[in-house]
This record gives sequence, C-alpha cells and structure tokens, in this order.
Amino acid sequence: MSEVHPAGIPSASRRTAVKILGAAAASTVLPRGASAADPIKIGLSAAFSGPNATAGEALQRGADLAMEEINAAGGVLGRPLALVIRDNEHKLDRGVAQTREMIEREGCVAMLGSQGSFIGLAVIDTIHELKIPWFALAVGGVGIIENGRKPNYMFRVATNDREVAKFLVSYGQEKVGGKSFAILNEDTGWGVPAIDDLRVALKGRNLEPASVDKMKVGDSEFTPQMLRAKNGGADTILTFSNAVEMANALKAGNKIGYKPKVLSAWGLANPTFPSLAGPLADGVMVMQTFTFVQNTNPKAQALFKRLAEKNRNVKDEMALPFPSYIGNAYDATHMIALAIKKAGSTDGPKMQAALENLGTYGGLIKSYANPFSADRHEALGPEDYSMTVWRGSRLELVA
Amino acid sequence: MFQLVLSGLALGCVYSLVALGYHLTFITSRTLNFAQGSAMMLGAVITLILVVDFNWPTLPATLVSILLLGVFGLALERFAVRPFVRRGSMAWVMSTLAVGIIVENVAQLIFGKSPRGLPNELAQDPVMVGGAGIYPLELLIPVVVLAIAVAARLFYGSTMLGRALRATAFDREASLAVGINVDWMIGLSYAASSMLAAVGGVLIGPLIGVSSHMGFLIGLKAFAVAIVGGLEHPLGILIAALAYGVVENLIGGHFGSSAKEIFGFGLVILVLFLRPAGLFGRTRLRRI
Amino acid sequence: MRGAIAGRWWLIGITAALVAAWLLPGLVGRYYTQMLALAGIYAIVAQGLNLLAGYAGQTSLGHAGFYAIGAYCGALLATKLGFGFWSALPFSMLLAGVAGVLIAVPSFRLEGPYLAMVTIAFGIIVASILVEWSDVTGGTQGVLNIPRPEIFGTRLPLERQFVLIILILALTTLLMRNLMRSPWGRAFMAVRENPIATEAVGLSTRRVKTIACTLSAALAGLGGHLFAFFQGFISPEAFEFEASIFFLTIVILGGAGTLAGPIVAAPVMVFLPELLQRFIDYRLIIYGTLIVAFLYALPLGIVGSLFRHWGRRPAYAPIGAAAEVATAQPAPSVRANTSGPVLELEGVRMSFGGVRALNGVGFAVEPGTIHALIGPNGAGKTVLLNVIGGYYRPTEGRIRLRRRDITGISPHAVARLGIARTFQTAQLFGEMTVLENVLIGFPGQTVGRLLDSALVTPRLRREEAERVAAARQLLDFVGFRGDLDARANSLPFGHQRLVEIARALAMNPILIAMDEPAAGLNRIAVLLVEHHMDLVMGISNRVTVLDYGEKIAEGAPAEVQANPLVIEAYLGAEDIDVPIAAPISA
Repeated sequence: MSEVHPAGIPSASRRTAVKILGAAAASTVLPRGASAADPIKIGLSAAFSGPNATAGEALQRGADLAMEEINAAGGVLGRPLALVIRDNEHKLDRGVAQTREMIEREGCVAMLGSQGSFIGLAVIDTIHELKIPWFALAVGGVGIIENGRKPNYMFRVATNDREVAKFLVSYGQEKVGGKSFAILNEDTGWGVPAIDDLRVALKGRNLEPASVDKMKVGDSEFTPQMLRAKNGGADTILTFSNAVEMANALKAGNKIGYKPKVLSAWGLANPTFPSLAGPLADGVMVMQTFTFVQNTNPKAQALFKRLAEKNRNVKDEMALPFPSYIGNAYDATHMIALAIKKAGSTDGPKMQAALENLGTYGGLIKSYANPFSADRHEALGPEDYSMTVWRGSRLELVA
Repeated sequence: MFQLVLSGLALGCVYSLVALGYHLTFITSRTLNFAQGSAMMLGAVITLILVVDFNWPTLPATLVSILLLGVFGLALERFAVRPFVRRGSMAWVMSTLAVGIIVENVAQLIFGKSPRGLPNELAQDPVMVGGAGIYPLELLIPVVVLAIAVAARLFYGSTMLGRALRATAFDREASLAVGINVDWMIGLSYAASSMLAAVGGVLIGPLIGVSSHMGFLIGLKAFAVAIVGGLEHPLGILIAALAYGVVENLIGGHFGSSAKEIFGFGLVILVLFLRPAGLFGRTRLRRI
Repeated sequence: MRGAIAGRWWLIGITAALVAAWLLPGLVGRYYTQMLALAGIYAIVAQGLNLLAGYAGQTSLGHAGFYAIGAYCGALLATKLGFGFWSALPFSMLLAGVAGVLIAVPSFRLEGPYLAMVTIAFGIIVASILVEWSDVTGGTQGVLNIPRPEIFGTRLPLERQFVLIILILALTTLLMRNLMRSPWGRAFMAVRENPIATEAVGLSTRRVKTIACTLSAALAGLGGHLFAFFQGFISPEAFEFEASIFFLTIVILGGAGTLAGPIVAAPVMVFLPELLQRFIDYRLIIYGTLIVAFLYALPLGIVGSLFRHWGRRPAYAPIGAAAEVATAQPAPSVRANTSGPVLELEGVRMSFGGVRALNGVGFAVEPGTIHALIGPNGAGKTVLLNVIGGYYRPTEGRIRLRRRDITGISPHAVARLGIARTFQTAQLFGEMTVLENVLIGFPGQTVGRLLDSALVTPRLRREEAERVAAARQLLDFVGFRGDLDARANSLPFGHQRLVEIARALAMNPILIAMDEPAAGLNRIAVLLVEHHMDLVMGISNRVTVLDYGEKIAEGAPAEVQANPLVIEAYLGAEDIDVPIAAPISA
C-alpha cells in the first residue's frame, strides 16, 4: 500500500473540500431561509436511486417549497422546519429501519412516506409504538390508513386506490364512452392489489373485465398481454402502472394493430412518458390530484415560478414529473406545521389530536376544511380528482 | 406466436452482441467483463443524450457513442482488470462488478433516474411480416449482427491485428515469444467487447426505453447465453442467443413475465449440467 | 491438554462476547444495537459463504438464494403454521441444505465462469420464485408479522435477540474453526488449491464440494431464519442479486479463508451506508469505489492481510505435545503381498480426437520391484500414467490392479485402491503447509468423520495425533529437513518433490507411479517414468520403452540399452545424455 503523505492534501484545498462537502450535506437538510436555531425535523424516507427515484424527488420538492414559505414567515413556534431525507431504495427493510432511525436518532416529529405500500404497511407498528404522525403521500393502499388503530397515527394526503379505481371506471364509462374494459397493472405491491380495486369498481357497474394482466417492471415485451386485451374485445384499458411499462405495452399494441383508449392512475404523469411512447402517448388519460399545467390558481402559479427559479432546467410546467406528489407533499407539510401550531408543541399525541381538528387550510390542491377527523384520515376524495390527458408532450386538464 | 418469435429473434440478436463481448475477453485473457451490461447501457445513454439533448442526427451520435465505449473498454481493462488478474478470479470478478455499479450510478447522476425514450423512425410504424407486426428496427438488428459477424471473420482471417488477436487467444506464452504485445491485445479485446455492447444498446434502446439500470438484467442474460453457447465458440453463442430470445418470449407469452427468468435460468442450469462446457464447447483436457 | 470442543481461550472469548452483547445495548442505544444485530446475522451468512468460497474455493454469486430459503421457510412456518423460532429452525436449515446439495450436483464438473453462472442462475431463480409464487410467499408484499424469537415462552426483546445472535455467531465461528482444523478442513482447502492432486490422494472432489456446499447453504439458511424472526417481516427485495454480492463482498473484505474475516467485515459493510447517508446520490458510487480500492490495496482482506504477518494456524486438530505419541516404525508399512503382478496393462489405446497417443501398450509390474517406463519426449509416458491413474479413460484396453479391473474408474477411487503418484511438476496444495500436505495423504480420514471434525472428539484428536507423528516420520524418511509449517509453494522445487513423495507414501500404497526420478524405495513396487536413460538403468529391475504410443522394447536394463530400436528412437530425439536440471537436495 502506498504511503500517505504525512501532511495530507494541501490545506487550502482541503478546507475548500470540507466547505463544499459541508454545504452539500447541509443543503439536503436545511431548506433555504432557515436560521441555525434548533430546527423542527420532518423525515422523508423515499427511493432516491433506482427506478422509483423520480417520485422521491417530487415529494422532496413539495416539502421543500412548503418549508421555505413557513421558515420565511418565521417558522413554527419560533423554530425553522427542516427536512431529513433517507434513500430507502424502495426496499422494505430500509424503509422501516430508516423510519425508526429518523424518529429516534434524528428526532423527527412527523414522517412523510413515499411509494411502496409494503413499506407503509410495515411501518404501522413502529409508528404507533413511537407515536409519530405518518403521512401517506404516494401510496393508495387502503389498509395503510384503515388499520384499526385507535388513535390512528397514519394520515393520507394522496389518492386512495379504491377511489381512484372507481373514478377511472366511472370516467371511462360516462365521459369516454368505453364499453369493454381490460385491466393491465404493473406487477408490484401497488399494481397488484389495485387489480382487485378495479374489479370491484367494475362490478359496481355490473361489468366484468375483458382481460386481466400484469406487467413485470423491467420487462419490455408485452405483446401477449395486449393480444389478450384485444382478443377480449376491450376498447379501453384501465391501468395502474408507470411510464416505461405502459409505453412498451402501447408499442406492442401498435404492432398488432390495437389502439385502445387508456385511462391511468397517476403513474403516467411522468414527462418521460411521451418520449418513451412517442405519438402513441397522445390521448392517454391520467388522473391526478394536482398539476401545474393550466392551473389558474394564483398560488399554484406563484409556486411554479419559485420552482423554475430554483431549477434551471425547469422551462415549463411539463418539466416537473409527478406534480401530484409535489402538491401532496406541499399540503401535508403545511398541515403538519398547522398542527404543531395548534397543539402548541411537537408532542406526537398532541399533534395527532390537532390533526384531527385542523380547521381550515387554504391548500394548494384545494381548500381544506378539517381535512381529517377521528374516523376519516383521508384528506382527499374523488371530488378532488381531476383527469388530464396527454397532448403531444403536454399533460393538459380535460375538464 | 409468430409475432413473439420475430421479436424474440431481434432480442436474441441483442443478447448475442453483448454475449460476444464476454467471449472476446475470455478467449484473449480468460477474464470476463462483468461490466458488460453497463457498457450496453452507456452506449444507449450517450446516444440518447447526443440525439435528444444536443439534437445530433442518429448516425454520428451512434458512432461517437461506440468510439467512446471503446475507450471505456481500454480503461476498464487497464485499471479494473489487469491489476487483479494475477490475484485470482474472485478479485477481477468483484472489481468489474463494482465498476458496473459505479458506472450505473454515475450514469444515473448525469442522465437522471427516469427511463427516457430514444426516438428512431425505424421504431415508429410497424410493418407486416407474415401476418405479424414488427418494427423495421427489429428487422435491422439481425442484419447488423450478421454484418458484424462477417466483418469479424474477415478481420480475424485477413488482417495482421486480427491474426495477432487470435494468436493471443490461442496461446499467450507463444504470442509473447513472437513479440505480440499481449497486454495491448487484451486491452483491445476489452475495447471491442464494450463497443459491441454499445451497438447492442443503441439498437435496443428505441424499442424498450433507455434508463441507467437497463443494463443489469440484459448483461446477466447475455452472460448466461455466452456460457450456454460455450465461452469459446462464437457461433454457438449466436445460436444460443437467438434461441434464448425466442424461448424467453414464448415462455413469457404463455406463463407470464416472471416465468421468463425462472425458466430461462433454469434451462441454463440444466444445459450446464448436461454439457459442462456449454452446448457447443468441448471440455478442455488439462495437461497434468 | 487443551480443551476438547473448544480451547480454553475460545471459552473465554465466547463468554466475553456474550457479556459484551448483554451490556452493549444499554451503552449504544437501540438504533446501533439493531445495526449490530444485523451485522451479526450477515456475519453468520458470510461465514457459510466463507466456507464454500474462501476455504473450498468455489465462488458463489447466488448465496442470497440459500439465505432466502432459510428466511421464507422460517417466516412461513411461523405465520402460517404457528411454528416458533426454535421449532422452525431445523427446517430452515434443512431446506437450505437440501438446496445446497441440489446446486452442488450440476456444479461438479464446472469451474470458473461456468460455476459462477450456475450460482447466479440459482440466485435469480429463487428471487423470481419469491415474487411469482405469491400465493405462498406473499409475492411483492412479502411476509409480515413474524413473531420475535422466544425462549421458554417469553418473547425476546431487541437487546436479548442481539445476545442470541452473537451467541449463534460465536457457535458458528467455533464450528468453522473446528472444521477447518480437521481432515475436512484440509479437504476443503485441497479442493481449492489443486483439484487434481485432491483426487490423487483419494479424496473425491465431488463429495467434498457437495459437503462444502451443503454446510455453507445450511449456515446461510440459519442466517436467513434469524433475519426473518429478528426483523419481523421479509420481502423479496432483500434477497436479490445485490444481496449475493453483498455477502461475497463481506467475505472478500474480511479475508476469504480466514475465521475472523466475516466478523470484522460485516459491521463495516453495515455501517458504511449509514455513514454515506449524507451523500445520498453518491452513495453507491462510493461503495463501488471502495470495493475496488480494497481489492487493490488489501487483496487478502483486512484479516487476511494481518495474518500474513502472523501466520495461519495449521489445519490439524489440537493435540498435546507431539512427544506424547509413541514413535512408530520409521519405514512405511507395506500391504500384504499377494502373488502375481501388482499392475497389469493390456492393449491400452488412447486417442484424443484424431491423435493417437497410446497404441496398444501392455506390460506388468511385479510386486516389490522398480519398473521404469522410458521413452523420448512425446512417447506417451505421462498419458499412460494418467490413464492408469484414472484421469483418462482408455479408448481400448484393460488395466488391472492386483487382478482387479480398474479401467476407467475415477482417480480418487484408483488412489484409494492403492495407487499413489507423483507428477512431472510437483502437485502440492500451495497454500497449505508441508505437514498439512502430507497429512492429507493418509487414507480414510474424512470418511464418517464429519461430526467428529465439528466436535473435535477424542477419537479425532487421537487419530490426528497419530497422523501427525506418522507424517513427521515420513518427511524425515524422505530426507526433508525444512520447516514443517512452511507453505508448500514457498519451497524450492526439490523440496516440493520430497513432500510430494512423502504424501504419496502416506497413502500406504501398493504402487507408486512417479513421473520423475525418486530416492531409493525398496519395499514398494515403483513404476517410474523417466526419459533419461542413465539414471534409470542403475536402479531399475525391468524397463519398458515407449515410442509414438507403442511399446518398442522391454527387458532388463542392459538388454534394453543395447536394443537397436531403442537407440534409434533416442538418437532421433534431442537430448539423450543431458543431465537433469535440479539435483534433489536433502
């Protein structure tokens, strides 16, 4: 092994290096505008590497935006908010371990959750043991929120898969005129349970799916699935999947001359979808809770301006993937701040009680009046869902 | 079903390109480039960045990408393989694997985390062949592979460099004795192997989407194909690759996506059990 | 006399470790305890992999598969059938062990990248099944609500689970230590160092590999079982290819083939990602770079590099002072002599593809004689030895050992039946010591001794003591005067020769086939291959001459020397009377 020079790296560049590293480290923790006073920490365990990383980033954006506003206005109880993030690589053991670590070691007073309903389900025990509020921002699994605990520390500011399924079916039948539906979901902890949600929704309208298929993440050959849908006579596909799989499915469909209508959950709200599917993306409908595109809400417009200032490569509203997540995280963060203010402390049980009695909050996605109550921990409902459609490389509101 | 066979053949051709890369480095140096999958990914990613972000036309972008991967291969051999060859096989296996991890994550930093589409007119409108729809690009792939195979034959047979490479593959000591720079030959084989992988990446990218993690599973399957075909037998590898692509698709069609891996790799184990040197290999007789 | 199953130091060490484990959680808090507990579990799995990849040299890139089998078996038995931690444990280990056997079978004839492929394929198949067979495994959701381990009905809290894990890790390491210092340990290392020589001393590489794979898999299954119950939930992503790489990295970083390696490296690998949390985006890059840097700077791993300075403890069971054992006869004992030739060859033909190396060779070696086999280069002498040894199956012809047909039986069976051999280049087990190289020659030391090896029974210790004493005498007998604990590949060529001969003698053979001249041996029949005439003429009773795969002459040395055919064969060759290069020094 070579000898290390006793003096190490020359001191000038060493200091610079330390400064850069320190700044890098600090920037992931403290949003701009915060003072150095003892911050109130909110944790976010999400995938920041691998295929699910885009969702994590979107959540982080939303939370950061909210925290900047709150800190600029003096923080909460005189203290700034800080976001602590951990990369759980979409893995169950990491998600659970990090949740515990952020609460016990970092002292986070509230947790934001990302994708992965298996993670959501697995942290229920930890959360209730440690009595810290946990927010589902990117999972729609029903069992996470309706978990039978009293008091319930799991809250959701996001879509609920059961409601999304119903929304898709009703929209498909009423607004798009679909007659026969095929289910094509991704083969994950999100897509698979949602198959049942879709079946139930169809059943509720006396319909049976023309075909039911799964798409494995990472696979690219979906001709068999599309063939089955085509042969089943489906004119519309209902899907809970992400951009690359659905794009490949559409390409396969194109090969066999099958061009159904597509109604999707939020997974296809990713700006890479049109680049992946090309012209086939046109007309694909995606349900969302929030989008910056064509959003006349001045709050949304102002927020978008700030995002564009922060990120130089954000040229228009379309450059931000998963705007629903940005919105969900933004509103959830504000709700947490409100709860702390209302409770007058960061004590878990007090926050939990305050959340169930939040009062009004003029949020980004909508104006909330008591978003949560003792028996309803879902801040959003089908009335808050909207449908967008891909036109070229833009995702535009339909109605 | 014919549909699946056709696209399977195209996929198999891509496997064969990557797999031949394993073959090349193995016969010259008895080492394997476990970063081969990442090389494929890099080929696709660099091309995409040039075409989409910088508006280059496809062909120059492809050529630049391939050349860059040649440099990558040289660097890989020099810094991640050569220092470890003498230390036994586990070392260079882990080292090339680690390089693969590094490359994949650097690509992710630069390229972003979402898969992106690599536009290509040959992947837009399908043509009908025998009742099955297929994109022209999928038809082009076997042609490219064939052209490469023919070019390789000519190269190995007729040029000095080609002969030198073959000599190194055949007998390292003898090559050293006649003045062939064996280290350079091995470096070149790594460069060629990475370039082949890059071609594969560029060809498949428009069909399946380009992402920083697209290389992993394809690299692994290409390795399986190379093993099954016999690491020292390029023709065997080609046949194995095509067969694997088709069988995989047929299995996926009938049993669902995940069954592909189970059956595919299960078959690999079976083949190796029956024929330890691969389908077309011959067990080396060891001199005692 | 040192202690039986565990030496005094071991008992002290284990007790100390348990005490530390008891107190540690109070000192470092819950979070770090959890990480250390995970490190402990990973170390257990890594020890298993260490056995297979480190000691036996069979690189496995699919060990996560065995780990997964153990984890899911335990988890499913507990959640679906109400088993407890202890009642499910044997099943987890058994199932993983069976998987080990199943993987070993296709792997026998494979080496290098081919073997790697099978292990990778296995790992991926298991990972895919975990996702696909969702009715049983819960698919991507995994298995939740696995109960914590219990002792006497009480569910253990985290702190006590930690102690349990440390205890199991200590026992695992003790088991490894016992095994590696036993005949089985020598057998594993032999397979790694030199599979051909392994067969030549009568050990079936198949059997050894299978046992190594089975034990290794069972240990990984144990780790998986612990993991499931410790964490309380499992899902398929913890068992993907990345996990196999993770375990292999632990083995390499710690030092393959060292006992302490996995224990040292596991915590490092667990805490490294934690330290790198701040640099989230760069984490995996740093990870990969560290691996490469480590492989470059510390190729033997952390512990392995340290050991280089201190030396490795030799692989034989602890015994009392060697002087306690009564000295046996100085000369190797001889098997009962039956009448008739010891070795007979009839019409042996051997072709490789189109090349005919042997063309109808036949001769007989009488008991107690030295029979030389000479001929110019390329005559087929070594090929013939390999055919006799069972490495090649002759295209035609018969070989008989004491009237028993041994044509085409496997090399280790030939060796067991009584043919020992030395090779043109000494085939020793390089990383093993001189003494270990000879010890491994003694027949039957691994048969039925697996349990004894694991538990270091009195029977094993007695047998080892006898073997050590006998080995020392053999080495003395052949004239080896060097350091018995020196690594075999550090010896000069001549010394290696001597050790090889001592090893051959240890096998108590009926016939030694030597592919180079040897010191005088008068009680055992010797088939000596040589192509320098002068050396051979003085010591042989009878000489057979081969040329182009055919026997062209046979008889007493003087006759053969005068035979015109023989002279012509040699005149045509390059070096008739050039003396041998390295004289054998005593």
